[in-house]
Amino acid sequence: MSNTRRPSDADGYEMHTPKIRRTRAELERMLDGRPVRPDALTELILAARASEARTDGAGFAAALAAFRSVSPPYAQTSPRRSSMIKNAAAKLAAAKLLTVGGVALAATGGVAAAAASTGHLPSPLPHSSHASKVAVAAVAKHQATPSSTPSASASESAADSDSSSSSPSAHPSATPSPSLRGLCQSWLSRPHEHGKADTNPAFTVLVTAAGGSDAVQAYCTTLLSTAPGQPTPSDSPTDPAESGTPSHSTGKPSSIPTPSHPTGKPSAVPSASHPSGRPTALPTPSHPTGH
Amino acid sequence: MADRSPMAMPSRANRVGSMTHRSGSTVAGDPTVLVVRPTDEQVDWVEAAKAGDESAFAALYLDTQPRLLGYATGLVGAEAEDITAEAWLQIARDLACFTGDLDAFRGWAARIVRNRAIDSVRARNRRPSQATGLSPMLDQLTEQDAAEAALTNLSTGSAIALISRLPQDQAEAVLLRAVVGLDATAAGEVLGKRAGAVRVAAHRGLRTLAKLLTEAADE
Repeated sequence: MSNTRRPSDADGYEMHTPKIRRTRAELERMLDGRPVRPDALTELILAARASEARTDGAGFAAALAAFRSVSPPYAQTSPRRSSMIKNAAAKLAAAKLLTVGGVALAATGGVAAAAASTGHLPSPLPHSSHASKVAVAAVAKHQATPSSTPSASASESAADSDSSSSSPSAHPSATPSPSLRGLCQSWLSRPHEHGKADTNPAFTVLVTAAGGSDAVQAYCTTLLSTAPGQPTPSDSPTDPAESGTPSHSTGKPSSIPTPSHPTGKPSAVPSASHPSGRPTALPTPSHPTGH
Repeated sequence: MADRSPMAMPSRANRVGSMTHRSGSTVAGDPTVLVVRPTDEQVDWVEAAKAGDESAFAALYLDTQPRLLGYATGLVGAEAEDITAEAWLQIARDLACFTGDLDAFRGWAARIVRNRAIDSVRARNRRPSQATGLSPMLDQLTEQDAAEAALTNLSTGSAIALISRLPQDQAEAVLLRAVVGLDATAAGEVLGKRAGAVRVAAHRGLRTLAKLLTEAADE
């Protein structure tokens, strides 16, 4: 069997040893995961990289428990944080759905705090309107933090307007949650594990969003083929229940902050060097990097 | 453990690189492998997790754990799950003190894993194999067997098992680069080496692997 694995050269002759020596540049490409001429070595590296490693629910649950035990409660929201929080809010819908799998992710207190300080909840957005409503309700219920009066009333109104502003039709998802994309990448990188991945609570949100574990593959392929931050068409524009205090526009198309984070590598990520994290005014990448 | 200093930026030209990574594959357009370069959304996860966003932490875990597990398997074989589980407790605990982007996070996490693995090996007084603490069963396989297994089996486990048979510095260089997804500089920071030394070790490792595979194929 191993004989069939010998690569052939252009003339179709099987290449025996000595094999063509790869250049150092090629080796670097291989290590970087970039395309190289195939042979047994590239297949080996590919196999090593293939994520057969199970990410089991128990391992994740333990890590999450540790994370929660140290998660600092939100003190207050700075303007810088609000862009990040919007992104976090987008993830919340996904997070809420994770509770279905038994691994409950709490809403970050930050969203409620953001509501308190800015007067309205950030546009949620993540994927289906139902999910975002659920998420906002989750925020209202689970706010982990400072139950200052403003945020308490914020969340209550949020919950109220949430239930009253049910969009008549379930409109198709607007910009999918960034975490959904990440979950999709993880899912697609585990081709052998779909049986296990089905029950992995970390993937429950994906399964739900896709409408079943059978649909995840197609859902993710589609999702990742669109550029991040692009809305899918049609959202009912306004939330009728919008008021001065916390309102969320479930239907708002994504003016969703395609999170303004630094573009990958080339733009020097100075955030790495200052304690506060990322700078606020950042170019929003306009190129698609979906997988 | 002291906080890592933020890692140097990768020297590769890179948006193009990440475009090429769309498929994340080296060969046939197979989209099922760990993508090396972080995507735009992923870049945000560390910050959000530091702020307490649990779903960002979940996304980080899902992306990082397989990398750490692969690396740990190369280091300590069957203990890898325990080692990574311990590492995540520390990661969660120390995340508040960590500053950096996703690349830096991966390197930081890898160093935590490495330290855990070293502690574990020392504590258990393992007989060091030529690579590093392979599980006892793997120790008994010859290099040849391992290469054969990797060729015919092509599983992650057998691939990593073969890589782990390399001399330790080569095995680690290859794993940190290819599996964890660090660049040479970042891998160097995990190993306490210069980037050039990492490149040399990784290249030697790859050439040795190629040789082992060829020999196994020729039988």
